Amino acid sequence: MGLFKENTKMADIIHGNYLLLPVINRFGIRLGFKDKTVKDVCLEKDIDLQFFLAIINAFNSPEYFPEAELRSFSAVYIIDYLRKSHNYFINTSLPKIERLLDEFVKSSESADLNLIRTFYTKYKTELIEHIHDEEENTFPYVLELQKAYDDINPVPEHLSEYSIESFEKEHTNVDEKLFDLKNIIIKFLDPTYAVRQCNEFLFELFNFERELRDHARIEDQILVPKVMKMEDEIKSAI
Amino acid sequence: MKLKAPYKIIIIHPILIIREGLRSIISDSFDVETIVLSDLEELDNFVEFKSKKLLFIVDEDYNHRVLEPKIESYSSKSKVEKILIRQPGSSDVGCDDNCLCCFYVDSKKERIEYLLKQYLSSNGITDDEETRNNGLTLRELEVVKLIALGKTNKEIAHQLSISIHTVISHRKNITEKLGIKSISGLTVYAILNQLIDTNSIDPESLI
Repeated sequence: MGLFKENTKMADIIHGNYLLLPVINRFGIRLGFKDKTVKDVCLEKDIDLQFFLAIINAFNSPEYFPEAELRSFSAVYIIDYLRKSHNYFINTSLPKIERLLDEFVKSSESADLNLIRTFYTKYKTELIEHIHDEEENTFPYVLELQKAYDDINPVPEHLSEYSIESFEKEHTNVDEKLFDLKNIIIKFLDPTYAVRQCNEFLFELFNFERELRDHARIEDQILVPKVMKMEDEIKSAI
Repeated sequence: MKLKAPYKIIIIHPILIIREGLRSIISDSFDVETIVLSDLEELDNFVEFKSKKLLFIVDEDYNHRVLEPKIESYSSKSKVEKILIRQPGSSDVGCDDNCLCCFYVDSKKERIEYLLKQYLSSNGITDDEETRNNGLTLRELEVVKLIALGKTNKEIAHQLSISIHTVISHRKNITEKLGIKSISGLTVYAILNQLIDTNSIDPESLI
C-alpha cells in the first residue's frame, strides 16, 4: 500500500486499512469525509500534519517506525494522543469486552466461565491501575519536563528525583495476564462451551491485545527514549 | 504396553465382523473388560454391571426408543457413556449430544484407538500421568496447587522440603509447559483441572 501522504484521500486510508478508524477518531476525525485529503482534515481540525502522518503510517506499516522523526515531536502531541487512547480503552474497548464476556458466561451453566470472569476482572483492575498511574504520575511529569526543556529552565523541585526508567517495567506484567486469559480459553476450555459467544469474546481479546501492543509501541519506543534524552540533556546542562 | 481402565465396555452390534473387529482393536491397546453382544435383547440378561463406569458401543440403527431406556437403566448404579457405530456417509453430520463420539464402519484403527484413549483416560485412569496433566509431572502439579493456594516460593519450598531455587525452577518449567505465566492464571488452571478441592475452598476467592 505504501505510505500515506498529505494528499492521500481520507476515504482511501480507511478503505485500505479499516483498523485505523479508532486511531483517526482519537484526533477528532469522523467518517463522512467525502474527498478530503489528509492535509484538508488536519487544517480543519487543527492537527499537526506531520505528527498525524507519522502516527497513521506507524500503525499501518509495522516496519515503518522512523524513531528519530517520531521522537522529534513535542511530548505534548504524543501525550495527548496517548491520553485519547487510554480513554478509548476504558470507555470503548473494555465495555465491549465485558458485554461479550457476559454473553459468554450466560451461554453456559459451567462454573468454569465464572472463573474466567473473575480472572478478567482481576486483569481489568490491574490495567486500569496502570493507566491511572500513567495519567496521574508519568504524563504530568513528562509535560513538565518538556516545558522545562523548551524554556531551557531547570526541572521543578518536586520532580527532580523522578525518572522515566521505572515506567517501562509495568507493561509486561499486565500483558502477561491478558495472554494467560487467551491461553486458558484456547487450551483448557471444556468442549461443551457455546461456540458463537466464545468466539466473539476471544476475537475481541485478540483485537484488544493488538491495540494495546500498538499503544505500548508508542510509549516504549517513542515517549520513553525521548524523555530519557531530555532528562540527560537537562542534567548535563546543569 | 496396554492401558488399564476401570471401565466395562459393552459392544452391541448385529454384524459379527464388526463387533469382533472392535473387540480385537480394543484388546490390542487396552486391558479392559469387554462384553460382546449381538443384539439388544441379550442385554436383558445383565440386570446390573458391577463396574462403576460403563461404555456402550452400539449400532446406530437401534431404535432409540428401545435402546435409551435399556442403557439408562444402568445409570443409577454406574456412570454410563455411549458411542455409536455408524455407516460411512450417514446423513447426520457428527453425533448428537447423547453420545461421546461416533465410530464409522470404515474408521481407521488409529482413530478408534485415539478416541478410546481420550475417553478412557479422561476419566481418571491412564498409565501416562503426564498426558492427563498436560505434560506436568506430579511434583509440578503439587507446586501449581500451592501457587493457587497463594503460597510464596518460600512457603512452597518449606512445604515440599526442597530449596527455593528448585521451586523457581519448577515454576519456570510449569510456565513453559502450560503457557501460563501469572499467578492468577495458574490458579484458574488449577481449579479447572480440579487440583484444588472446591468443596472446602471457594475458588473465586483464590483468584
